[in-house]
Amino acid sequence: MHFLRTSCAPSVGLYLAMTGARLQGGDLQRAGLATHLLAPADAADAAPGRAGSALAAAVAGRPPSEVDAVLAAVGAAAGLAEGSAPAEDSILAPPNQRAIDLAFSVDLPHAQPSVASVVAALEAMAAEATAAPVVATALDALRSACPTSVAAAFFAFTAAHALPPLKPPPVSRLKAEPRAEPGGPDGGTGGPRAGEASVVEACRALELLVCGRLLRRADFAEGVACAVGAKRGAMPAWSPSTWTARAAPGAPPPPAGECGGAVSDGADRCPAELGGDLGDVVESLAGEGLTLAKARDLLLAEVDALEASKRHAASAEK
Amino acid sequence: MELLHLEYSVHQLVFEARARVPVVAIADGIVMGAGAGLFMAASTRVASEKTLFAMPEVSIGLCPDAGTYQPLPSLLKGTSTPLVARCQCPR
Repeated sequence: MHFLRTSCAPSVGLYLAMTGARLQGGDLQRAGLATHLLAPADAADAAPGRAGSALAAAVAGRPPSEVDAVLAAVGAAAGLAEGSAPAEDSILAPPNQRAIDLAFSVDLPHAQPSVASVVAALEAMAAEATAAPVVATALDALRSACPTSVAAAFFAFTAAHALPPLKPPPVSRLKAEPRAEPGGPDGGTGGPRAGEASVVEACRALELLVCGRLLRRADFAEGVACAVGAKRGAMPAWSPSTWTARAAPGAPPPPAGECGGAVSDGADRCPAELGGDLGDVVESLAGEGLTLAKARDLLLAEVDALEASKRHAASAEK
Repeated sequence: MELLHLEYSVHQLVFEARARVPVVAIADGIVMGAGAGLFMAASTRVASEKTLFAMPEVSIGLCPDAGTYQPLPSLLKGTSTPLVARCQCPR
């Protein structure tokens, strides 16, 4: 999520995350997601392990700046000029881009505070005769997607944005030789700074927490069944069925077992179906360093607690 | 859960590898889900005209696990052999 916030236009990142929209070819580079664009034949030639790969050989052993120059030259030789205008039906075409910037705005003072406000902005634009094509497409996508997932994507995107500024990643897991640069981000020690947690890892840990809780919901089984399983081709029956039916902040927590037991209504953006406490959990863990290991341990503890609760309920029935 | 943790850890390791070597990801086909996260972790991200990129997790009841990214050009001063990954689903 942090990537989507920092690499491409934030509104485009939120749009891609909430709607599952696709980007093709040169639009990846125009959006900032890709750094280089190659012809398919050249991209295939760069595949690792490809016998006689001229491109792989051309970049081997070179510093990053020269790698970039080689790739840029190959792209230019194929006639793939940077800065070309997007196609008219591209989401990056000016009318579509303006609509996305407005409806999926994440920058103050016009940041959308909720999923409801995103949908309201799209519906307002859809009512206009000159609405950009992407407006109807986005509304259709939001209405057919899992409502809890859409809300979770919005929460994860905005929560990742609220994390502290990036610090250099620790390199302790890399067993290669220590960094040779005395002035490097880790001070040349090859190890992490005491107490320092990478914001990059914190963002991944946040996503792990969100996805870990979503995995336990019936919506995931339903979505997979309708996508590739026994119900293939059918419309998923989400629960709740629409995003507006999603429990509002402050509403009673969902039944135990649905999202991991203890919940609260402390977060103003976290879907109650995910456990309203997730915002608080992220905030408290971020203070001491939110890591993937901590997120995993938390999720496994939740699973253990759920199973213990089920065993207790089963024995009580007997 | 462990599998999900493993996937995220791999993405994180790729990101951290950027501190030592250039990491080049080549997207020459369908790049979705975990492949999108891997792609984003690389320092040099190559797309082709055949690339189709999306994070469609909301359509199956999940949330995009696209990972994170932040340019760290100051970390990319090495001259090691680039780590090249090919991000593409089989077709």
